[in-house]
Amino acid sequence: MSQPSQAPAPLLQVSDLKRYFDVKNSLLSGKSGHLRAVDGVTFNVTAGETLGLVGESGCGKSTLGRVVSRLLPATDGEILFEGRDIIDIDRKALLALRADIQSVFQDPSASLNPRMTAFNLIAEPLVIQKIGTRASRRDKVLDLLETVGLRREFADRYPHEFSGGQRQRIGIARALALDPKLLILDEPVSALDVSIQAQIINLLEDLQKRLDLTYLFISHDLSVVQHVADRVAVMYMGQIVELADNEAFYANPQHPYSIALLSALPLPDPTIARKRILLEGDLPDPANLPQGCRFQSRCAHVTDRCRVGPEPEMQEISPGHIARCHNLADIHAPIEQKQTA
Amino acid sequence: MTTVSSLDSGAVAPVSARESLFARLKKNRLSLFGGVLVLLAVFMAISAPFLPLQDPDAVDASSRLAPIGAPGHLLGTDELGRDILSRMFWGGRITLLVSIAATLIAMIAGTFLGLVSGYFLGWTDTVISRGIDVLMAFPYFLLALTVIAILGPGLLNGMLAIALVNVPFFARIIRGSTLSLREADYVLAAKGMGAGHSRILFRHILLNSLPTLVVATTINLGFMITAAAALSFLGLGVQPPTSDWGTMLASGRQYLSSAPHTSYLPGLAIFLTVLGFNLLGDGLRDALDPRMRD
Ligand SMILES: Nc1ncnc2c1ncn2[C@@H]1O[C@H](COP(=O)(O)OP(=O)(O)OP(=O)(O)O)[C@@H](O)[C@H]1O
Ligand SMILES: [Mg+2]
Repeated sequence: MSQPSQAPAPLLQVSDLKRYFDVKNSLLSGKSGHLRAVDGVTFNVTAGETLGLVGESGCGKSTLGRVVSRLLPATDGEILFEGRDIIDIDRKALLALRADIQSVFQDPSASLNPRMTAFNLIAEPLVIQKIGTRASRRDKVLDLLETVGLRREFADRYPHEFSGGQRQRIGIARALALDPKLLILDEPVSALDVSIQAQIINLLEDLQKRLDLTYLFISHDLSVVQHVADRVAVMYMGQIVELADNEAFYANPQHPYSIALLSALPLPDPTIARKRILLEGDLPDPANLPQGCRFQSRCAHVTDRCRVGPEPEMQEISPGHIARCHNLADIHAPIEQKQTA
Repeated sequence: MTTVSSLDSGAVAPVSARESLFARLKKNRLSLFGGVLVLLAVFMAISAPFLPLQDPDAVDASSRLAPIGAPGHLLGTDELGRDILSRMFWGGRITLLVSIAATLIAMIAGTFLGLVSGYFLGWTDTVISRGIDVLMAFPYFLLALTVIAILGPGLLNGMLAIALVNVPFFARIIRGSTLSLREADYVLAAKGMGAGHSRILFRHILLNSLPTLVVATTINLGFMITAAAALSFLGLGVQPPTSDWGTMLASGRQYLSSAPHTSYLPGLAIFLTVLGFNLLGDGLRDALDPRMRD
């Protein structure tokens, strides 16, 4: 991507990142192979922005988030944070990095130790990183409770005594305790009631503005991502297949997979209906990918070229808008049809 | 920092998920009965020095094998004329002390091994698990006897022997719970804050294994009482003049026909205490950790 020279260096630069899991194909044959959960992913995140990462269940979003936050080792590739490599670092540097990159997990009832109070949960990162005195930590934790919209009096309660939304607020407060720069939000609202989702999203947007945070926002909900993200990356079977600014992506998706995903979204003007494109065909076995394009089995625009190697490369459609498809030139976003109702 | 306007309402999730342990135990009458038996045994062990009991070792040749209800001896006397009531209290104290100490030793060693092998996996797990398998390959009692043959008989050695035999029980249970808890999201979250292994092991995994551990310990105490009594019965545990329920049972055995109470009473005490721990353990398991049901 060509960037103007005066643009600030991205906070996070990920290039050709891979994460494979070893899998036994079958107990009988004993054959083992790789499951390419993340398979050559490249993207940047600029300080202050929200990059939305969308894709179906199992496409590798969480794995990507975990590798970037150094919770899982990378198989191959490069991750730079503030311009510095974070894969090959010693323990001390890793501990410091942990303060800069924090995560919020999907299910707050699973990510909060059920036997710790809200206070101890939020204080734990400070204790681990040996930040402050007992008294200063106490003040910080109580402030954080208020920051995320919880009352100070809740500090001594256990997770099961909170509602789902309140629990996620504790998860967010904990992630903020170390004053991180980048938050990996792994489906932070997916486990919550729809009525609570908006509250948590508003909280996250508000925090981003006030605390200068950068978000990698993982979700399978395209309308949530449309609401929060500055840029959108679409993931399919371990790869990013399209990456674009929010407006460009939602107005003019390029990859057949993106087009299909978006066709399920209601348009703001209810008199206009999109042609719904159903994704048919089977997902390939992630441990045994076909030759050619990974999307061929479900693609409406598949050609012979897609069925033979090599895989399509990323192509630039317009500045900052890239997609991975052989047939971009022949594909148009579904024609919006005026309904005569 | 300022407060976000949208304060969540103070409403709180129902606490029913955490109905008090006692409330749940109370529903299970059998385990309540077990709890009463255990309390009774513990009371005997603790209160022995404070009650106006006769000297348990005072020999009285003039009233040997006195029956239950004999004047001055509520539960009669044994073959040396010692007061059985007093000896039941003092002997229970030894039996319980040895069993509890042995259980604690086995619990600490087994928990540590289980945590380490279930968490680190790899060769650490291989070495520990194979060691545990070797311990388990010996017949339970033979292993205890082997240890005593090496160390010599006695209270302390007997205790160590039955502790060693019970290490695998704890190691296996805790390894299992560690294997599942190590994948928990809160462990991942702790890692993401920079937590070291010991913090993850003790603050997160062990803390969440506590219910399992409480249940396992209670059930194990039942085994231990049988094992301690059996060793003493064989003369390999407590050495005279000290005696526990096991030695009382052994010495009373010779007078089974003429003075059956001298062996029935300690035997009954052992039986009821073991029953108490097992019933209580079952109730705790159902209340705290239903997954442990085999
Ligand atoms: N520890 C692991 N061992 C083996 N395979 C794994 C492991 N973790 C994830 N996978 C596999 O990697 C692929 C990607 O998983 P991942 O959890 O990253 O997907 P996801 O996009 O986050 O899905 P979801 O929306 O369900 O959270 C899946 O096929 C999954 O089965
Ligand atoms: Mg996920």
